[in-house]
Amino acid sequence: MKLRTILLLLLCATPCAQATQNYLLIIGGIGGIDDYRELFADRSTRLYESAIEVGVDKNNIILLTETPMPDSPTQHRISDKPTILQALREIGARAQVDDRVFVVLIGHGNPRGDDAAFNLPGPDISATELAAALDGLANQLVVIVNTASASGPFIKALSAHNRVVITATSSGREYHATLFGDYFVAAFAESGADTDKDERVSMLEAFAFARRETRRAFDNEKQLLTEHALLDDNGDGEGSLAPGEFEPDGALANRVYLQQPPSLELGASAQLVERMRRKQDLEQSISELKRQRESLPRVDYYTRLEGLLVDLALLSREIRAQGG
Amino acid sequence: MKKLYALLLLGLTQLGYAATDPRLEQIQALRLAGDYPAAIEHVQSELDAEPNNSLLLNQLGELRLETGDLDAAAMRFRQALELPGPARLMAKLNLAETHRQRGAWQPAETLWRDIRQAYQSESSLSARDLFAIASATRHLGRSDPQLFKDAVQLFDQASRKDPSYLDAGIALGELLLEKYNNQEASALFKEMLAIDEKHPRALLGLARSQHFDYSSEAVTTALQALSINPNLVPTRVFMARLFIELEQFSDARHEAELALEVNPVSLEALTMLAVVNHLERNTDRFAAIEAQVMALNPRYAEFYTTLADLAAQNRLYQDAENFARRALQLDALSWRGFGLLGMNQMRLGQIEAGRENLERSFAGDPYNVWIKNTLQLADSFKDYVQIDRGRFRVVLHGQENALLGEYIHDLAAQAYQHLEARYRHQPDEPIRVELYPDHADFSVRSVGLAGVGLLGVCFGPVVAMDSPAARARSEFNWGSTLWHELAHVFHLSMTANRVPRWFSEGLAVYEERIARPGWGGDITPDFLLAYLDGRLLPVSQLNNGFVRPSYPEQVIHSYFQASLVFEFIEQRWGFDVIRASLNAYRDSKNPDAVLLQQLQLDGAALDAAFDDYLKTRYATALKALSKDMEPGQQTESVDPAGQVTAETALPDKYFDQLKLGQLLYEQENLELAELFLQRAQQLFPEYAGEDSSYWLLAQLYLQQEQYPQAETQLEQLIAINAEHYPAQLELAKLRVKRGAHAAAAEALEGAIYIYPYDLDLHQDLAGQHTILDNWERVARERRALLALDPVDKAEAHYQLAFAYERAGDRSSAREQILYALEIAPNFYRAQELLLSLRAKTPAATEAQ
Repeated sequence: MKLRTILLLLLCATPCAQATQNYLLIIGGIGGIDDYRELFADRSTRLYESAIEVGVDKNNIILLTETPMPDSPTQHRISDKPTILQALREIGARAQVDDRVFVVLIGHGNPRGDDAAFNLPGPDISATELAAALDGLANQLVVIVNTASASGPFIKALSAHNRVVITATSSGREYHATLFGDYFVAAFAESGADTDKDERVSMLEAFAFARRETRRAFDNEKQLLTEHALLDDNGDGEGSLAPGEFEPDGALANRVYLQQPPSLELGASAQLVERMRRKQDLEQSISELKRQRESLPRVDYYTRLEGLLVDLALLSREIRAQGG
Repeated sequence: MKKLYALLLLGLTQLGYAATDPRLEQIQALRLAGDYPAAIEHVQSELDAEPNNSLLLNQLGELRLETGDLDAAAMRFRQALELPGPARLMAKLNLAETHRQRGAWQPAETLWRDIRQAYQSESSLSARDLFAIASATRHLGRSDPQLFKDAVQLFDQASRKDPSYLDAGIALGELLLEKYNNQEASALFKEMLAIDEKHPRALLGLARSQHFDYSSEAVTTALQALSINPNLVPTRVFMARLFIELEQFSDARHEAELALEVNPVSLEALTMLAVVNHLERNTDRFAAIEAQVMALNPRYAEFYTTLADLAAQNRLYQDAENFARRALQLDALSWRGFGLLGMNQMRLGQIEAGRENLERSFAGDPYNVWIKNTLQLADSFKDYVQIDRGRFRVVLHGQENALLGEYIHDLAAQAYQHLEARYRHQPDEPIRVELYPDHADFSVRSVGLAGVGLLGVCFGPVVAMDSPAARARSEFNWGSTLWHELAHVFHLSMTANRVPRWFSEGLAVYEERIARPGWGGDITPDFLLAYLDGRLLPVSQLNNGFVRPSYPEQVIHSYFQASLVFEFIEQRWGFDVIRASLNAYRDSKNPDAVLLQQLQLDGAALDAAFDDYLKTRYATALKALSKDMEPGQQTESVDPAGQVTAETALPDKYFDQLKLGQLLYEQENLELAELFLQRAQQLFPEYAGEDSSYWLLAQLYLQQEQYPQAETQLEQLIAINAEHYPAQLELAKLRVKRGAHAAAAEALEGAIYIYPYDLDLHQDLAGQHTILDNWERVARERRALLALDPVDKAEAHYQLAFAYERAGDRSSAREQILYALEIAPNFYRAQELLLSLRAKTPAATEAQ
């Protein structure tokens, strides 16, 4: 945790008085039957608890569900459309420039022509209506995750600059209840999603984890995959099935974490700051070398990579020794 | 007899099966009944009165043809051709047939082309004319396969022109069947039989269609045809073929000889006789028949293609390849010959040569579904990888190689070592083992068609089988299947593929059963009920249970029963007699006697001795499954909610006790449920299927937190039924709980043979081997985890690097740690391991 604190210090061009804040709106949709009602409530609660666990301020989380839950972690608010719109207004009123807003929809959905809707108690909310409601968050980085069936059209409707949109399905025709949401929530609660081992789970990592585990679940049951999750973060309205750091979609999602960024700790030594800067340079060099992977002879590539990795490992060891 | 003819005639006339000339009706009836001498006499007398009747001349020619007098037949057809009349095209077709039967292709083809021209030149064509044109077109299809489509249409036109003329519909059915469209062929034969239920050729067509579908009804239908016409040569030939497939060679010989009594120069019947002599190793007799056939028709490639086909069906794949080559020497247009050559080369592991010949075959006959399927499969071989290690060449789909290759090589090597010592034999190497992740592909590889319910097949030096991906979890133990097929490799090699099916299958299942506890088939209530009902076959007839089962479960029952036979033999006589039998099969001319000679018993004595063995071995279970009641025992059902106590006395019947135990368990009355489930288990302790007492009792004890009892139940279950995946995992958990890590690892290893695709399974097994300090096994499991494409690849590479490092393989460790850090450069533990590895081995090592 200390290491990340210093890293943040480094990333701030000027001393930051206050870290950016993460806001989380969890919307549990209508279940229709008890099994789904319980399932959606469970997923919503697990996500709430995971967010608290990773440091999101409890006051920054709004949990909306179809019905009151006996062990609800918050005061119950129903997940109908007016309440959702009100919740977004509340967040918009509180969020500062550069804060991050996460909106996660857990439930059923259905297609409506080119559009799609998320099913709620009372009138459903369409992708277009949600897009309009998000206009109030133009100065924040917004992440919308719709884990519902038939959620694919939300990509086109919500895609925008500085925004990550994730849907459980690739189109409105994929209308079977989805597994993606379960694994997306699990990405923050269980081990295995943090693939770059930085002790945080990025939105890209959570997406990749959920996508792969969903496929594995279908494969294990020898069933055809009926949901194909998409991610869009370049604002072009076209989701990617396999986004990545170096792919058209994925670069932004790779830098966005549900984890609340730690607040600044002052007092680091100049030597430590210098080491942190060198470390950042090394990471940048490794990243550039990886981009050249296909164009370099394999032996050359790994020889150079090993050299950089050893330097990085030694430097990291020194930083840790200094309490970084 | 005359009355029969009269009735037949009446029926035919009423159903519209009248010949074109009323005077021919009686002759036709006699022909259909197979009384050829009477028919010839009758037509001769008609001809005496009217010598220039072309219909009668053609009819007489056909009768001569059917009875093998080709010269007389040809003479009559020529006479008919010289006369005006409605039989010209039929006579020309028949004359061409006499040429074909002598191997004179050129004059035959000239006549077929002439006949085909009639379709354009003649204004009015009867159903029989259309039939003749269709038949000629069909023959010409061998050099231009597109003509088969014309032939289908022409037969159809003929049939529509005169629906009572059944020959057209039957011929169309035969053509469709020949081109693998059995669905329509079957419908056509049934349609013809709806018009005349006693038409022997329609019945024969239906029998062939049933045979195509592996239905045992084929025999019944063929016998029905013979009851109407006992002298119909094609039916006798068909029966001979069936008997050959049943490995009942003396019956096959008898059928062929009956056919030859009717037509002494029947090429098809002589061929069947040659097949029997080949399979019985009567080389002199075979050579004599071969010479006779070649003298009759020096270009009769079907002689060798039939031999190739039936040799392959009797697992003589090398012989099949040789015969197919000889067929091609006689007839360069024998597409069947190319197909059989290619298929058998593939079976013998000559993949590329086989593929080339299949392509030639398919170019000449694009309707052959088997060849098409096999070629499509061969196209997919580019996605497979081949790994040669030791005695084995393992061929796996590229996506499965990383996960399965190691396990397969390890198990294959273990099996070889065990079997080599046991059989004192070394098969030819390399042994090729192919695993298919798609069952349809395996099915095509084994028989050319999808949908076959086998798990594996052995062609001798080549084994093909389903990979675990091809089956649902707990449906299939790939480890025991591989062991089974490798046992076949030894059996086939020792006997030059001349081992009866029941012997090889039973022995292979027996080898599975002794390889690992719980492998191979298990006893089931169904098996013992079949025994009680008298449905199990005696040992002397057990082969029929494999090749032509008479009830749906008979194949499964026969596999298990045959394995019990070998268990019995080894217990009473020792394994030497089994090994000696295998050695004797290689040169024996009487395979039925081989085992009996070794045992010094006759068939009836072995049947009786095995029956006693089975009755004794399963005495308790048989009593508990029988419907007999002891005096005073009740059978009424008991209401467990109200009446049952520990003292409740149910009959000592397995299902009664089990069902009550299940019901009580469902009602959560665990104490009483345990009592009745235990009683059921005592009555049939050998049964550990899904619905047995073991799993239920294990669950019950787990609920009661009686872990030692639960573990005992699971151990007993797995010792009988190792395919029970959840039981293997549960047992491992219980063993971990009490610190028995080696035993836990053993249970998890067992689970890999059922379903190796479970990440948690490999994770758990790696954990147990870590505790046991068995780092090579940890590394194996870590490799498996990587092969399963985990989300957290950096962790997976790191864990593998760590295992390599602990196992002393620093080079591999360094390679893996670079992979881990490539994904996650700031991965702290990986960084430390990298630095540690470099400190120990400072020289640069490159990840390759």
